[in-house]
Amino acid sequence: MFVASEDYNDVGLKLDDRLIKRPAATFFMRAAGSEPDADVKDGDLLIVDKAETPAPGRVVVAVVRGELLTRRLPPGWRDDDGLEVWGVVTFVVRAP
Amino acid sequence: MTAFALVDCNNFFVSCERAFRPELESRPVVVLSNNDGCVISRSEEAKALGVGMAAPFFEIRALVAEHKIAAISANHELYVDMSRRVSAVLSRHAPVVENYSIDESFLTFPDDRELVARAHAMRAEVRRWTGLPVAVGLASTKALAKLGSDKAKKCGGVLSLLDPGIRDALLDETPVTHVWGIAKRSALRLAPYGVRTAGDFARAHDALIQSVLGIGGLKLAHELRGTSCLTLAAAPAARQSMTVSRSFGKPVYGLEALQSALATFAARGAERARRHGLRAGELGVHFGWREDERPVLEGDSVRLPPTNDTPALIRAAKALGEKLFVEGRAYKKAGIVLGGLEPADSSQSEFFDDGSAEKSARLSRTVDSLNAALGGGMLRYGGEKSSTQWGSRCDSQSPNWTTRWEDLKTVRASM
Repeated sequence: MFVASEDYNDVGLKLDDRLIKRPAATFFMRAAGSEPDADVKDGDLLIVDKAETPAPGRVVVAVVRGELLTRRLPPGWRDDDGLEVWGVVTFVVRAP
Repeated sequence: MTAFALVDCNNFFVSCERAFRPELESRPVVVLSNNDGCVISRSEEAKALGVGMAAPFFEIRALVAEHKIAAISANHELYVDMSRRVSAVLSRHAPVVENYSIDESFLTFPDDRELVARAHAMRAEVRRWTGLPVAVGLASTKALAKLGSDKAKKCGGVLSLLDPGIRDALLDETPVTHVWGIAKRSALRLAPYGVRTAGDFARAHDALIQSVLGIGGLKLAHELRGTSCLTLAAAPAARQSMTVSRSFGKPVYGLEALQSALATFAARGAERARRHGLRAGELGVHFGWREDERPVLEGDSVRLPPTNDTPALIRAAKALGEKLFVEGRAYKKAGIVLGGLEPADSSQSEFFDDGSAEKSARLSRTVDSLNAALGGGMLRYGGEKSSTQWGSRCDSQSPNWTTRWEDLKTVRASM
């Protein structure tokens, strides 16, 4: 049976669909240095969603003394803890 | 009744820089244009130090050194991407969003319930999603919404002029020169009639307004009175035209020298148009000289397939210059005017697209960013005149954090 191929232009898996929930709020960043506690290694590509709600246990990009750092939010962390959250790291992309 | 909202990004270029460089928060910051090094965006701290809008860098160099003002060269690629993100957030709140300029959007809400609360929610979401602070003006017309957003920056971020009492009070405290679309020249012509504030203007007789400012001025007065004349669909371009012109120190006789000046002006105009996200559908050239001790100004214009491309505008300017040039005349002044400005992303001109336009646009952008990197006007198109260098002592342009893989922001990961 003949099927017009353009009908299927949109099939196939796209990583953007999987890794980016909110394109307007999502930024790519690069990790410098390693932080085992946050499962982040030097050179990792970080997918950071500023609209994602931070919660204990999540890895975030935080503003500490004017600098952007990765942090895993500790158990019991609360929004009013004083740590300024820039965005939540939703995925880490790295070569194995 | 439809309510309009104008969402205006505060100090947009500075805010884009701060979004990725938190160390600039609460420090005085200015962003400088790429070619001539003039201030095009100021943080509140820089404004408080007396840095004027459009001030050339050399004039503020002492202030910059004394107060450790961060001076950053503009990165329009970053600003365009951030502007796109703001629009995307706004589209979640309103069915129709009109991007009026790179940092201002008009929109209407589907209904009129709890507009102030919705404006606050929208403002908070733009801040959270993009990191950018915005102010929102709400009103029954676009001109009033614009006035409201200007005031909103200083009072809580959202101001509704839907209440006639608040509206009239604001009109009476606003100088008429601050009204959207009233130029200083128009304001001067209104002054003899006792029109000093926006309130005076709104209360003036229609006949007076029309005789002084024409039908456009009358529409504006209606808008300030609360009768909507400008719809979202029939939005005027952010600017109708832009002029780049100079008087010459001493008379210029040669065609070559004039062409060189026109090429420089066209390049400036093109860069300015790109910065505002506009392209021109018309290019005019004018020359000035004296005849019997009286100044004479003569010019001509051509229609163009809408463009903000530097080589295309230089070509058109030089062709017109050659046509207008008269041998032996002592030229005192020259200029170019870009007219028929429209947002660069409106697609009606694909008509004219022969495939080379995109390539050329890319070249123009490259030249802009190289100029920024090399310190302003270092890279020129053939025919463009080497003008005064504005000198260094300005931080280089920011990386393209959001649009280029090699420029991603690095985040320190270590305990």
